Amino acid sequence: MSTLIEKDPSEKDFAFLDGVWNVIVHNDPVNLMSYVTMTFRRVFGYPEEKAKKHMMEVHTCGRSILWTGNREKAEHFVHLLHNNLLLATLEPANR
Amino acid sequence: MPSSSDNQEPALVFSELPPHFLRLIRELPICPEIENASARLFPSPSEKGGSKLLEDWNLYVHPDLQSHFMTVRQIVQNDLERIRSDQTGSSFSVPYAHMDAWVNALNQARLAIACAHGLTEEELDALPSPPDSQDPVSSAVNRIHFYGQLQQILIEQMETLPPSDPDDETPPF
Repeated sequence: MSTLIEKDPSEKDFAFLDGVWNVIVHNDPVNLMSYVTMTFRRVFGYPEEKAKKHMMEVHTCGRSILWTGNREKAEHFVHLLHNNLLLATLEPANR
Repeated sequence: MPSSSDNQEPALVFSELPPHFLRLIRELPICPEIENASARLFPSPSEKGGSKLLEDWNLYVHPDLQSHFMTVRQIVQNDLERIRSDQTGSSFSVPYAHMDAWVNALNQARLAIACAHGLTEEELDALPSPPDSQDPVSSAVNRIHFYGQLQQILIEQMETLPPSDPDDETPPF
């Protein structure tokens, strides 16, 4: 399955300041699929279909890159995902 | 059986609950306080350990998460104090404005129980068995499934609702 990478076009001009970061969500056998999909929709504003694609990628591949952009915003998204109890991490996109 | 409330405050009403289910619901706010659950409720933001990011996260984000989780559990606790009981069973309401808090609290409880018992994906996917109070793993799995069903009902109801009022008391999503 191809990886769905969401890059925020408004961020790319400033990426040199602190690099480009990925927001990754990891699989968790406890969270309901419907809950994960709803969380992706609400945190990232993704439409239902896109949120479901990412949820299925997490479920089948163990992880999915939900968003790519500057570090500050990536940390903000991981914070929101942790608020919603998803297993989320951030990592440099170019490692 | 869930239904919509006729009161002024729009709410989802769960009624005719048998005592066993009522006990599980009453215990919901304290479940996340189980020992050994904090690692799952406060995961690392990085797959690499020992980074400056992790240090900052523990200093600035961890307390915020702790406060958020406590707040939503307090909202649930307040709703549970309005449980009514009669001969047909007990009932309680989940106000629409508190649904985010309930879904979050149910998730906290499910994750904490699974973490504390070290439950595997196979154990969680196994068909539900009759509750066995002598078997802590069976009790834990059944409790997780029960909370999951409640969570699913709330999520389906939330999908039908317009975006929440920013002035309501539920903490930001």
